[in-house]
Amino acid sequence: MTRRSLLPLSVWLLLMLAGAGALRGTPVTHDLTQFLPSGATQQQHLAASLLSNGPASRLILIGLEDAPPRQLEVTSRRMVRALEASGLFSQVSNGTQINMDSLQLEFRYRYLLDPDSTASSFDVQHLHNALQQRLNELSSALPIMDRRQLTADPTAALHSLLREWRDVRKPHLLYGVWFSPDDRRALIAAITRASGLDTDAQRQAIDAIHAAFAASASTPGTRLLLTGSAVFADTARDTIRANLRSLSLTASLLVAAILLFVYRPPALLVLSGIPIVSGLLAGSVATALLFGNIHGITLVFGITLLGIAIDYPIHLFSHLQRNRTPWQSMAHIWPTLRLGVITTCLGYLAFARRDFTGLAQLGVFTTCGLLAAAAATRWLLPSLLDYVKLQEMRAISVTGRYLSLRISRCAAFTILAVAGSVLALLAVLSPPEWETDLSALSPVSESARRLDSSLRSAISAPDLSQLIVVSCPDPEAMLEASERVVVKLHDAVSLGLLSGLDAPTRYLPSSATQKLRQGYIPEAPAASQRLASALQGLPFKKDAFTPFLDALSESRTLPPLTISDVEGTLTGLRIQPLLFNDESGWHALILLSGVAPGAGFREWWQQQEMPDALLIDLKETSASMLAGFRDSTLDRLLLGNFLILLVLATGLRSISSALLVTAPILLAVALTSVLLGAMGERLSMFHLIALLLTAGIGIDYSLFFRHGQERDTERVSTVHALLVCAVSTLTVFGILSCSPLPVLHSIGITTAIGTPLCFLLALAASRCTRRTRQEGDNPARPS
Amino acid sequence: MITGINTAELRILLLVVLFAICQPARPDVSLTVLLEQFAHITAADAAFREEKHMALLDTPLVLEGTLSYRAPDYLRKEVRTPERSAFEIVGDSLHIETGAERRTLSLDSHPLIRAFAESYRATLSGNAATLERYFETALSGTQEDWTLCLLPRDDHVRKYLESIVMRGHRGHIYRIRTLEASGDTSLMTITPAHD
Repeated sequence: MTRRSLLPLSVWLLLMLAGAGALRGTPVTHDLTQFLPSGATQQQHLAASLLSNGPASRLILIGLEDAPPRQLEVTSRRMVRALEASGLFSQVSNGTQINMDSLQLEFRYRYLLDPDSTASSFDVQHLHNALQQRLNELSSALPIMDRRQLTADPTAALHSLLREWRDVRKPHLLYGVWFSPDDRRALIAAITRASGLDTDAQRQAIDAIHAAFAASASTPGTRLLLTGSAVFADTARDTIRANLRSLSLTASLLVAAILLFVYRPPALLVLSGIPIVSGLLAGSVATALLFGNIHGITLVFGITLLGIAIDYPIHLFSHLQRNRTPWQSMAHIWPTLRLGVITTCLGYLAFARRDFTGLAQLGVFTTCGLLAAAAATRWLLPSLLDYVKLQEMRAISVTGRYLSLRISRCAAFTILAVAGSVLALLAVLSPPEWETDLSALSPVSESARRLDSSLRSAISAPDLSQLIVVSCPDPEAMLEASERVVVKLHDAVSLGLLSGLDAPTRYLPSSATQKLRQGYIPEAPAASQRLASALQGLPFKKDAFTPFLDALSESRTLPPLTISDVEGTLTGLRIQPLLFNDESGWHALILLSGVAPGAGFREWWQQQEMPDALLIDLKETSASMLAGFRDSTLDRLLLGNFLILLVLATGLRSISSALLVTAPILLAVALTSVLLGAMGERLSMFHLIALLLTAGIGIDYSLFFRHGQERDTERVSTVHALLVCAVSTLTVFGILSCSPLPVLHSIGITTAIGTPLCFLLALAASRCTRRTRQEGDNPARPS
Repeated sequence: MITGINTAELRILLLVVLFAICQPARPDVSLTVLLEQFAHITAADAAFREEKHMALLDTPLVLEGTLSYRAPDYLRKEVRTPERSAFEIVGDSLHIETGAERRTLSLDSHPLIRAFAESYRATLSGNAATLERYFETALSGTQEDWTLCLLPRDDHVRKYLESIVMRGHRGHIYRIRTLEASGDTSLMTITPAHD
């Protein structure tokens, strides 16, 4: 006996050590996009990469409030300086005037970049009007004091260039910086240099903002508000961590209390932890080996493993009897337990999809975890149980005895009938709805999303839900294609289908356009002749504008600016968020604002022939991605069900037995989904996973109810075990349902409703079938 | 006319000249006494005529309009001809009106406008501290005919503004002469409104 008990223990210890060693250095990621299905169509693919790495993912919006506006303005200015100095941001803006000294390149290229440049820009009438305009400015109440550029740029080409920069967004200005319309919040927009996927760099950027705020806020009590997808990811990471800690601690403590209460010797409590620890470790190792990292949500999901794996030792403990050794008890329940484990794992494997990393991780983690937990229960626990002095189990067994012996066949039929009619009624009255909003699945809280949308609208951040992506193999072709699209889109603006747009070509026109504008500039003799005529009747001195004539002749020969030329300049900063390149080439983003409600714009767009441009509706695309994913998940659910039935039929050696085992569980699962619908939950993929999990747990119950039908004593310990299982599972998932994270809440609430239903309906079904079988059927014993 | 070269020599020379004008051997009037007279004023309205001489122009620009002051910190300058426009300062805020557009800026972020505005507003409100904060001051003349020279203290402001010289009669300012660093000058003549 001693040798027999030492061997499994040492093997187990070795495996645990090896596992812990294998886990060392495995990164834990919090990349939320892993929990977004990767798209199948080009649209979906672009949408997914935009969501994870596009400009939106790098934008952090900062709000300052709870101080007098003057103080907020000062804080805002100081913060922008500090953030710019940090070097972590490619752009930090709060609406302040652009520093003219940093516009040297733009000034030099003003006649190539000026969007107002036309063939008539330098004719006499045009020049005369511009000069008259400058004269009016000189005679205004508040004269322009800096007249250094007046003689070099009398047509104010730089000014119209800068106006083009500003026009896209016109947030409310107070004291020269961005404020919310009610003047209570100062606003800053910061774009990080690092990709939105680089969570550590994003964390660094967020820390820099906090530090800049701490150093800049002059009034105590000033509040800093942050929003943006990087902030969401960061908060999600903290929330996941905090949840992981508090939920697993609470669940573990409660389950421990239940076990201690039921089984009394604390040694059993320790033993029941062994399968769980084994499962968690095995699941983590398998995930780390297969994926190279473990997702935070996968770890959180480990808690659900606690809810299922705890059943295995419970079955064993409840079936311990004085006249049997623990090995004999284990051998007695093993066939049933094994079948239960295999069916649960099959359900999870059905989810292990290659195109959905997050779910694949969950599937692998759970399957390997459950197998390890079952193995530890089967081959390690009995040997250790030899050392435990068993006591009478208590209290809950009274209920168990009542449930197992007193429920009449009539009552059982009534329970099933009631369940069936509630299902039918609810299915007709309030069929559950699918969740189509991707944001509802993100772990971002409702209040955080509301703050985000209020800051976004105050700063007039472009609505990124609809945009056009222009893709070309090389950057110059991309700029030219974007210009063609922009010209078309201006038609849509005049048709009222669109209020505005932003495109990289607003800031950097294609070389072709720049060359065209160079062609508008007159040669030196013509230029000075036209200027002389334009000056007629104006009080300006004849030779005052020599710098202008020099600039014109220089502009005629400048080589056009390219994307690489503007890197690091203000123009570069402006176009950078609107460009990205990947293995398929260059993509320009054309952001649309004020798209008319309805399908008008979309229909108009479909009539245009724009081979390189794709209209992407992120909301719709993500909804269709979700729906597509859901449908294929349902297919897999059916496949999983079929496999489970097959395994059950093989294991039980009877198709009808397999059907009888699964029927009450299918009823319970269906009832759970309509109950969720009636409670106002919109069903997402997380609910589907939880339904599968519930079915796995339920089939386990159903198998054991069926297993324990032969003798009354057997039945008492079976019902006892299942009752303890159900109570502990309900506890774990009940706690999960309190989580603010949608994934945990969905899984928690679904399983917390489903498990008691499975217990009740499987019990009722076992009462009905027992009588039936006693009346003649040949009982099919599990092998 | 002086060309717009801003050299250290020119500045020193200018300072010497200005102080020579502004500081007679025996000052008849002190800034404290003068500003006290202004401190009693609660409202002032005046018409102005401004002549701007610029290196860029053959002939000076002539602007006409009104000035309004309300104690303690409201000032409005409105140009009627040749083109309507106005600015208004209240406390630390600056409102600019051109055509139908109206913008609000912070005086703190526009030190040059602040210097212009405070020269007039701080004098009218009798606020010596504010005046001294933005300018070195030099007063000369008599109660009946005084001259107040203001030299901006801020380096950024000095890049554009050389000096502001006001002439007045007791609690009235009737002429403001502005000399810009570029050499351009403006002469504003103020006539109190009679009501």
